[in-house]
Amino acid sequence: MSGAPGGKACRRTGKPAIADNLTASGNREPAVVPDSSGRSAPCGHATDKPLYAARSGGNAVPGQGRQGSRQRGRFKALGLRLARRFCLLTAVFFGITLVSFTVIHLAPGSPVDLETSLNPLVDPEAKEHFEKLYGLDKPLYERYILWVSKLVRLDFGTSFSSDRRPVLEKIGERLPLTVGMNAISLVLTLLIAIPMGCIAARRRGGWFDRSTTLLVYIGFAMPSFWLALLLLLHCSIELRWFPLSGLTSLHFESLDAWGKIKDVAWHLALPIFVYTFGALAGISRFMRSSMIDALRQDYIVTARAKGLSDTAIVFKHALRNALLPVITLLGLSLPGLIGGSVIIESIFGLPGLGQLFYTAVMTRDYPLIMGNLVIGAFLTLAGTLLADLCYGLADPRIRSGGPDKEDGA
Amino acid sequence: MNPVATRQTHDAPRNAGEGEAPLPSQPNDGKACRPRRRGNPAVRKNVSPAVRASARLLRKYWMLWLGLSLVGLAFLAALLAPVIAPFDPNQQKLATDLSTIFQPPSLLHPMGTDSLGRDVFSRLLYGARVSLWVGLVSVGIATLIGVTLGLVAGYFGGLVDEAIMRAVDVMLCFPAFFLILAVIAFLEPNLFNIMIIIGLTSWMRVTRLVRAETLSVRRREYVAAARLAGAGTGRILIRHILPNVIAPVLVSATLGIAGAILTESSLSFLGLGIQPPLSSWGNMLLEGKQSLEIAWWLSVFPGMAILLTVLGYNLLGESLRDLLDPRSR
Repeated sequence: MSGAPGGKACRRTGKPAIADNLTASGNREPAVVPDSSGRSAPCGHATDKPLYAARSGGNAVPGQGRQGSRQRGRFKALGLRLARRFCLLTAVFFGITLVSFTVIHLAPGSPVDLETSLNPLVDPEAKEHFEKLYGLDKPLYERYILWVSKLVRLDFGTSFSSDRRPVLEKIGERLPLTVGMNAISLVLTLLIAIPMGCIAARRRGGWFDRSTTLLVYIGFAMPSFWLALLLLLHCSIELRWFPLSGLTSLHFESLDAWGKIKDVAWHLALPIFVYTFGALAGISRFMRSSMIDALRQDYIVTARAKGLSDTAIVFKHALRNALLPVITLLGLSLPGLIGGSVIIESIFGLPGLGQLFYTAVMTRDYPLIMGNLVIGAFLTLAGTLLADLCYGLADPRIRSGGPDKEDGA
Repeated sequence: MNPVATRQTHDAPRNAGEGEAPLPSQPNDGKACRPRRRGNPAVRKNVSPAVRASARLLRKYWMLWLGLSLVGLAFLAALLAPVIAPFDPNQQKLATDLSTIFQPPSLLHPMGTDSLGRDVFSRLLYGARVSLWVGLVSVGIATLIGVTLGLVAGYFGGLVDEAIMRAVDVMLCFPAFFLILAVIAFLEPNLFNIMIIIGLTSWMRVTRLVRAETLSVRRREYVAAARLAGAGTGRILIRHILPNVIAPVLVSATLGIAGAILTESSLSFLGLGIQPPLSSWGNMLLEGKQSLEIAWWLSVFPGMAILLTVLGYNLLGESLRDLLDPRSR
C-alpha cells in the first residue's frame, strides 16, 4: 500500500488530466516523451520508450535511429538559441543602462549641490569647476555616450567620493562577499526546497504538505529585515550564540587560516539563514506546483502501472521535468536577491555590494551608482543566460530548436 | 459506541443553540442513533443544515475568510486610528518626564513606548494608514499601466507588441530595488513619491498577464461580432475584451498590494521611505533596530503588523485565484 496517497491524488484528477494532456501536450510539446526517454537511460525512462512511442503515435519524432546526427543537430540548435538570447540580452543590458543613466542624472539634487550648498563660501565659479571636474557640464546624451564608450572598455570611471578610487576597484573588493553569500544561500535553498516541494506534492493534502504550506505563507509575508531583527534579538542578544554585526572578529588577524574561516562562517550564519528563508518559500511552492503538474503526465501513469515505487516515480521520473520551470524561476529571482542584499547587509553590517550602493546613493556618487546598477544588471542577465543554458541542457525539446517557449507570467 | 454518549452529543447542539456544528463524520459513528435522528427531523432541518453549511463554507474557504479578516483588521486600524489610539502618536513626553521612555508593554501602553516616550500601539495604528495607502495607490498605478499596455500589446500585436514586450523584458531584468532606492534618495522620500515609484516599477507582470489573456480573447466570436456590429477599437477593447481579462488582474493586484507593502516597509527601514515623525511600520522597525538591545517590543510589534497584513493580502489573493480560475484547483 505504499502507493496509496499518490494513487489517491491520481484517481482524483487522473482521468481528465490524461485527456487534457493528450490534447494539450500533443500540440504544444510534440516531442516530450521520445526525447526524454531517448537520452535519459540512467533515469529509467528508456524502458518506457516503446510504450510511449506507440501511444503518442504521430507525435513521436521520426528517425530515432539516427541518434548521433540528431544529437549534434540539437546542440547546434541550442547554440543558436543561446546566441540569439545573448544578442537579445545585450540589447536589454544597454536598455537598462540607458534607463538608469537617464533616471539617475535627471533626478534633482546633483553631487555638486550636495558638496557646496551647505558651504556659504562657495562661489559660482567653484561650482562650475566642480561640474567640469565631474563632467557634469555637458549635455545628457553626450555624457551617456561618453560613459558607454568607457564602459565597453570596462572603465567605470572614478568615484566622486573623497578617495577618488576607480569604481571597478571599489566594486571588485565588495563583490565576492555578496555573490558568495547569495550563491551559498541559493544552493542551500535548492537543497531544502526541492525535496520539500517534491514530498509535499507527493502527499498532497497530507500533514507535511499542510505544514510546509503554512511555512510558505509565513515565508512570503515575513519581511526579511524583521526576521533578521528577531534572530538578532534572540540568538545574538539573549543567547549570545552569534555576533551582532560585522564580518570578522576583532582578533581576526591573529587567527590561523582555519580559525579565520570559522570566524567568517560564524559571522555569516545568520545573514545566510535570512537569505535562505526568504528564498525558500517561493521556490518550494513553485517546486510543489510544478511537481504536481508533472505527476499528472502520462508517463507517470505508465510508471505507476509498471509497478514502480512512489519514491522512484517522484524523484526519478517526475523530478527532471518538474525542475524545468524552477530553473526559469531562479533566473528571474536574481534581481530580488541582489536588491535584498542592501537590506540584509545594512542590518548585519556586512561590507558588501549592497552597503556600497547605499553609501553611493546617499552621497550621490553617480559613477559608483551606475557601476553598481551595471554590475547588478550584468549579474542578473548572466543568471538569466545561465538559467537558459541549464534549461537547454535539461530539456531536449529546447535543444532540438523548437519554437521559443512563451514565458508568460 | 455507548448509545447514551452519542445521544448526548447529538442533543448538545439543540441545547447550546448554534454552538457547534456536528462533524459530517459523526452520524456514521454509531448506527444506534440513526433511527432516532430520522425520527426527529426538526433537529436536522431547522438547526443543523444551516450551521453545518456555514461550517462547511468556513472550512472550505478558510483562506478567504482569514485573508479577509486580516485585511479587514488592517483597514479598521487605519480608519479608526483616531478613535482607538489611546495616545497621540507623536506625543512626546521626553521633555517633561524621562521615566516615560522605553517603557515595556503594560496596560497603559499595550505595546510599550519608544525612545521619545511615544506610545507604540498608537503609532502602529497610524502606520497602518501608510501601508494601506501605499499598497492601494501604487498597485492602482501599476495596474492601470499594466492593463493599458497589455491590452494594446495583445490586441494590436506586431511592432507595438514587440516594443512593449521588450520594454517589459528590460524592466524585469532590472535590479528594481536598486533603482527605487536611488530615485527615492534623489527625490524627496515622502509618501507621494514612494507610491508613484513603486507603481512605476511593478507593472510588468500585469502587462504580461493581460497581453496573454488578450491574445486569446481577441479571437473569440463575440469580438468579431462586436466588430461586425460596427464597434470601434476603443469600444471593443474596453467593453468586450477588458471585462474578460480582468479576473487574473484582480488576483495579481491583490498579491501586488502585499508586495508593495513589503517594499515600502523595506524602504522605510533603510531610512529612505516614510520620514519620521510620520509613523510607518518600516521606520518603526528602524527605530527598533537602533535600540534592539534595550527594547525588544520596538522591533517585535511593527514587524508582526507587517507580517499579518501581508499574509492577509496573500491569502486573499490566493483564494481569489482559486475562486476565479478553476484550472488551478
